[in-house]
Amino acid sequence: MKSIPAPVFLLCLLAVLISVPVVEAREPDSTLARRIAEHADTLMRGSSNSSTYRMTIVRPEWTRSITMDSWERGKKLSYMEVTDPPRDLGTAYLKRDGQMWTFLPNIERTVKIPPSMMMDSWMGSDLTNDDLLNESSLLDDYGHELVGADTLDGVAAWHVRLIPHEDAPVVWDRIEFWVRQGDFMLMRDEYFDEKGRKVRTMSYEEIKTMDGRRIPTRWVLEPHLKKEGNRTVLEILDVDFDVTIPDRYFTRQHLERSR
Amino acid sequence: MILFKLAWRNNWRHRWRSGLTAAAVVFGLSITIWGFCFTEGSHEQIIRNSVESFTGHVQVHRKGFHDDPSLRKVFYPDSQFVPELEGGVPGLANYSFRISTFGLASVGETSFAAMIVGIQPEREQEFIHWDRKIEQGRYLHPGDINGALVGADLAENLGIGIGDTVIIVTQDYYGSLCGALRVVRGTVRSHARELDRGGLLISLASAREMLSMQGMANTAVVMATGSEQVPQLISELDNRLGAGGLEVIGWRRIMPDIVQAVELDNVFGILTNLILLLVIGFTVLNTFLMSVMERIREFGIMRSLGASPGRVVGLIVVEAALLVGLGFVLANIVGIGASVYNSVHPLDFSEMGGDELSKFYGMDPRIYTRLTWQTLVYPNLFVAVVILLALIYPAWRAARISPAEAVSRRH
Repeated sequence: MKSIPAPVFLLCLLAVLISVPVVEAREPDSTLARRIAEHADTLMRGSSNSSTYRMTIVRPEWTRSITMDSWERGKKLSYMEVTDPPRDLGTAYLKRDGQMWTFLPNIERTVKIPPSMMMDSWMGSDLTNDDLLNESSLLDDYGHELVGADTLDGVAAWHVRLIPHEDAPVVWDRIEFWVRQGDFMLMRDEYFDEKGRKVRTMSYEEIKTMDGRRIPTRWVLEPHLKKEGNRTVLEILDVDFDVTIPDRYFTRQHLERSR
Repeated sequence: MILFKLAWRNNWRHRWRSGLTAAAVVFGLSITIWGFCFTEGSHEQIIRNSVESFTGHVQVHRKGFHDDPSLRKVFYPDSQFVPELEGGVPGLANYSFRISTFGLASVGETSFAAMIVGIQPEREQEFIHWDRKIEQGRYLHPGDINGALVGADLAENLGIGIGDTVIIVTQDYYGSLCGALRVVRGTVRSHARELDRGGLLISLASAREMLSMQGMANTAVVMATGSEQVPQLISELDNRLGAGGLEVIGWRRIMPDIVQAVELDNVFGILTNLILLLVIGFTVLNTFLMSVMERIREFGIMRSLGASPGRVVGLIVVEAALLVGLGFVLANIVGIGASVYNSVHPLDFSEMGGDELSKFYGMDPRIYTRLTWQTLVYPNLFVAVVILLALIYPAWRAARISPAEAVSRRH
């Protein structure tokens, strides 16, 4: 009905003009945040790696450990095989083309993990199948924001916040993580759901040099929200970075090969 | 005594009207009685169907399982359950143990979600009567580790028959994916939708093997000697098992949806009956109002001869009592007769599309009526109250008659 009064329009214009430098001023922060995230991402992975690790699942009623050999190339391809305990010996997982298959030796069948089971526990741990399949999307699906400098357990740290992009198919509302200042060593991740509740915490411990890299070798995942007393510990026993892995490792034939 | 004589004669003066009124009472009341018996019977049947087809009267789980089921919430029957029942439990007819979980049933590239239940074949046969639910093939033999029974609709969806192999994939006790191959021994048609569409039954031993759950169970299914014994049985079992960390729940909590459906149906039944009762009430009101109005002069003469207003009202009440009383007697004979007949010879709805309905709602298309003291007393009480209400106005009208005015009145 009425046109916008001139003073209001001018104020708006002014606000826009002022905000532009602010956005630019924030740029370096988010670039730093992204660099931290990228560093964290490549540090643990390399362009490819082969590793042996032990996963210990702690429950109020029981504790059990599974040892696995793993081969990983880039973010999209990985192959894992259980070597211990004997009951699960030969159980294998293949991640490829954004899908996951598992080979169950006792029935000699390959099963594709259906979308309905993505949020189910992976091998009984506090990790979900989705965690395994979509770990790589931390860089692509989230915007990175530097919250600021912080101190964690007496160590100077950068506090970075990951907020998912509007249409990203992710399960978290946000992820907060801390890295050591200076070398960007991973210290802790905290995962929050859409209600703003902290769902789980991952702590990175026991930094050691493995294959020439300083990396945390003990990762402790603790779920919250009525799951106190549950814990999953991943220990890297051995890792080789930037190794050549034959293409055939990442095929279903390899998954199903006779053992 | 003269009142009875007068009332008897007065009723006979309009034999058609009296006859029709009595007939309305007979019709209305007998249908209400039969209707109550039918509703009661169908509800009893829905409940018995569910209880006997799968859930049992009472289930026992580890505390917390019912509200938040998880395969990790288990108990050890041999140490936690069986010893506590020593000496016998009053009202307990039978029990057996199960492990139930969810997973995938697949054949080739086709997969469907399945409710996987490990049962004790010999024990459950005694009270769940699985063999009557076998559509094709046969029931599980004791000790059959490799066999499975598959819900008839699930089998159809998977395209498998007797002797075919089905792949079961689920998570074991420790949460690891596990798989098993089982051979289809039979298909199950139970009238319980979830079971027919997604049920995959294997033996308890087989489930324990597959899920790494040696010695464990997550459900005890308990049958009472009769449904009336359930509340006592629950508290008795709770006394014995509660301290050991087990939770005892009755079918009302196991199947709240069925309890709600039954309650809703009861409300509809009462509404329908209210309409019928209203019709009876107006018929009676009409008859007696007419008989009062056309006899104002007659009542006036009675009053002139020295009859008190109370006597006039008394006459009308006795007339009504004779008529309605006859109606009540006949109605009860007809109503009870029909209900008893249908409790032996059920109504079969299968010809009337009941087959489809029964598949959908999990009901037997044949419905037996059930006569209890409630289904008899309530309709009689309701009709009596309605008729009493209908009599108030005519009686009040007759009592108000002034003799002089009435006698001098011309038709």
